[in-house]
Amino acid sequence: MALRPSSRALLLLVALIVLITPNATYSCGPFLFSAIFVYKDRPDDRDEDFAAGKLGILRPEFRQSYLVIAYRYLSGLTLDAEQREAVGDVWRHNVVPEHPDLEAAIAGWRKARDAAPGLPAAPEVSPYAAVSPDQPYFEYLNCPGDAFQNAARTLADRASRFGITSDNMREWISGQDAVFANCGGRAHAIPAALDSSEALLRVDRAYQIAAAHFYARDFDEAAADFEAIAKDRSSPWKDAGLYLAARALVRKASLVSPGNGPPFDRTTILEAQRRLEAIVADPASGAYHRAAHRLINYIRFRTEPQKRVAELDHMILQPNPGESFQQDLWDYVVLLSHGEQSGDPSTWVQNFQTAGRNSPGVIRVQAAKVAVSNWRETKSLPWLIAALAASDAYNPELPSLLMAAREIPRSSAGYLTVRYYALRLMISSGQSDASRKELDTLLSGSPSDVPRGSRNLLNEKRLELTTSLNDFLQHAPETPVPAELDFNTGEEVMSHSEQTTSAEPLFNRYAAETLTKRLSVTDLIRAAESPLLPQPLRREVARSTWVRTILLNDLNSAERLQAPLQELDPSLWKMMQPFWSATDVAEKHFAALFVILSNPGMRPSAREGSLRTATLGEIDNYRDNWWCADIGAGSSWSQNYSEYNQDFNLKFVDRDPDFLFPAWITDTNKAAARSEWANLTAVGTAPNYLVNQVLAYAQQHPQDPLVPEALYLSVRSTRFGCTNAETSGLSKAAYQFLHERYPQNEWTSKTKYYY
Amino acid sequence: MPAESCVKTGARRIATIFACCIVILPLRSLPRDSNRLSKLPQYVLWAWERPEDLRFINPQDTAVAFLSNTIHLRDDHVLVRPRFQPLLVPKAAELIAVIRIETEPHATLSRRQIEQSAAAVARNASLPRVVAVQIDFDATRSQRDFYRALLVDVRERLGPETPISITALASWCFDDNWISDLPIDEAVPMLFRMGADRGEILARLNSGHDFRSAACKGSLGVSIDEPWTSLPAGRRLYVFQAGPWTAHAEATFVWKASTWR
Repeated sequence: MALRPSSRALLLLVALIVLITPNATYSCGPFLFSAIFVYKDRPDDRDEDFAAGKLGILRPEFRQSYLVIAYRYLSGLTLDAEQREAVGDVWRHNVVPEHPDLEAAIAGWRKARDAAPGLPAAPEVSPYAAVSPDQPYFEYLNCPGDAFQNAARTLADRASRFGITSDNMREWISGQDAVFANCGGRAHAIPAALDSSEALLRVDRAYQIAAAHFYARDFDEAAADFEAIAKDRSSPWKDAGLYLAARALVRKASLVSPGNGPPFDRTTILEAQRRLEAIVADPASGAYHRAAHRLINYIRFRTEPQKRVAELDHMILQPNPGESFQQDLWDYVVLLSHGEQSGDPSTWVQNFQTAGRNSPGVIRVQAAKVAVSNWRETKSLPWLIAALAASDAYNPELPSLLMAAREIPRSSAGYLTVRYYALRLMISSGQSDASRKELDTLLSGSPSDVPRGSRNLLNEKRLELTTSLNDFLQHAPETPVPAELDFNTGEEVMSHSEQTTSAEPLFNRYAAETLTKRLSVTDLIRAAESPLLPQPLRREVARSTWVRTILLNDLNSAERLQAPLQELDPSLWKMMQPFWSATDVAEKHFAALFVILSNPGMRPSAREGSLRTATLGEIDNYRDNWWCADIGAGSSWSQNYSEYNQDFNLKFVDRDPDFLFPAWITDTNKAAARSEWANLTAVGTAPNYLVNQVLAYAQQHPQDPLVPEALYLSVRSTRFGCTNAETSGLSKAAYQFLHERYPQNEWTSKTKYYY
Repeated sequence: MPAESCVKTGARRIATIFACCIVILPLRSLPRDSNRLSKLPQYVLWAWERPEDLRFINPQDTAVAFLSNTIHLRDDHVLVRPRFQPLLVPKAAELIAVIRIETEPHATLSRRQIEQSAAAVARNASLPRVVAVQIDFDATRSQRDFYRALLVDVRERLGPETPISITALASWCFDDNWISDLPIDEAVPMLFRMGADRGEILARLNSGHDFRSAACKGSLGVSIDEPWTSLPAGRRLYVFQAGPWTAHAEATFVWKASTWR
């Protein structure tokens, strides 16, 4: 069937589209390094400080590994230097053994072995083996360093008896070579039984055969061989036999293919546990009691998680938590992360997290009841904190909770946490003056007493209690904590790099929202004039307030910003000369539009967190240019550009219209702020507003020499600004107006496309 | 000119894309790809050292580059750490074994270390379904001779048939063409977590500049949580995910992949 010409053209078009797609056709979704004022799930101080008992303000969002250590300090216990180091390893997830001595152990064995003359070259040894044939990419340490060290020690001993040059030693070494040939998990080289007149060499060979079976993963044979060795009174390996037999079963039970059923062979592992418990019960096996205990814990972590967590609850409350503290702590936090709980510490961790988390209301209320009840019963500091954190102002226990909170001494590890949650309750129950006074005292403390994140948390409470514009401006700036994202885990971590750490104060969400939605232009101008704000923030307020006055057609207020802008941003002020000097209202408005179009960093609201990275006049590569429909008060700017939120600019819905006005704002200014905010939210996204305004002026003043450039800039804004479904039509209208009215103009030739 | 459009629907979108295509056509040469790598799927998910269950991928269009070994160069020693975490993939999936190299301050970078490291890298090529090896080494300027010698040794051990890929800083691909004569099949420009250089690099890509080194023109290294705008199309994507791959991450990846090309 022949295609009609139009069909061919369509097919050609489709083929071209398929073959040559543009770089990107979706709205952008940037990854940003935004300012973080309080860490999400980690303490405010360095890990070393937290491990030493400087807890800052504990929060339910903390990882459980931090909370269990906090519980220990809140209970009056401490950690010594070695224990603090172990805790740090758990926090850094450095609990997978690195086997630093493995290579040295292998080299030591090879050196000892090569001292015997007349032997073939030592075979290559790979100590790691694949977990299973279908998981060749997933390995485990099959032959640990102590296997090579033990072999070297034994070789030295046997050489001293039989002579390193003897046939006996050559035979012994070849047997051991065969043992280690199995380490890679593939060779399956089992030495033959030895027919020797030397009894010691015969029992050594029996041990080598058992070890070879073990490394070759013949676990049942290995277990049987080791049991036989345990019964051989002549064998120097007799004492280790039963333990090694049990270890063979543990390994057999553990090496199962992942993703294809249970994570271990339960029957086998329980049999191993039974054998290990027998070893621990036998005084004659004393040398292996500790090793057997470790293996039992390894097993019970898997088979009896609740009993194990009960033991670990006990461990965390011991003045000396034991030699296996690091492994125990790791097991503990893993079990807690699976929801296990038993004793007071684990119950407290789960309760504290549930009560504070964004969990369903019923669950939170229930957790609060448990916390208060446990506090009443124990009067302990951890449960006081949990009760304070979970309660609200209507809790009938509030007076007694606040009274107990007052009795916590400043020297207590929980002091800041108690005061923070107590103050939260005091504020919500109307004790504003007392709260303000105490917050001012706490905030005047030295940085070593109140870490930055805790300071910001306290300051956020203080911001709710401001008494005047000046008071608000004093508390509006906060210094972010040094934070960055861990490359591998995506976790928020404390940064040690100056490049990612802004030590400059910025506006947090509350301050930015108050400036954007709750202050009238009159108050904003006073803020721009106030020396209380750091200069970069003051400049941000001055610029944004000026844009705001333009969008509100409040040219008189715009004029009042001339002095602050001249002081804070002389180059911008100079660029604004046509605006300052224009007398005609339309020309003045157009001059303002021109300034805004020329400076993609101009927007009508102060920024929450980090300031724009591009300069005022630069296009930002991630489209942080001008403003979106929410005028900066909706979700964060990066969310506006989320790939899942492409329709954000179609209609702005204020997420929090009931966001409270600060108490000091007069009724007159409240009314003005409400009215101005309503008018601003009707403006919509910047490119649409700017194109509409410029087109309207251009149609009335086509002779204005700046109109072609303004049209060029308008079209540019539709490419780099926040857009919606209407933008493309407006972009086209500005493009066409420019090309039709000014075909020879240089700005027309620069405007090759619309967007 | 970077082809970036926010036009979203209908005939207008097609017309705009068509217009963009006509403009782009003469400007964009098809990237060269090594013959040895040409059969590799267009998407490659990086599976770092954590339990990874990637059985959801479609092996027709997605391969997996998994961290297989980490080689530590310490004094004059070479410590090879294998992968200690499971990796589950469909039976038909093609795999690239990634070998990360980390140097410690007093590493000698000796001939011995070159040979042992090369042997360790080459061993990965014999793993089942591994079709290429990829070396991840942020070599400093003073380590470049070592890296070059290592790659020459690896190439000799692997022969001409096994592709060698390396990860590359964007600056290696743009300005610092020291990788141009390495015996590799591709260098994957790492276009994420670029820190202070990010703005400049994206601006250069955005303004139509391509990488200088031919080895860098076949693929891109991107992260699931950073934008893929400004990135040249038509290249193999290596995709990084902070944390294990999940159904949600997969959905994000599929969505981004569908809109990027």
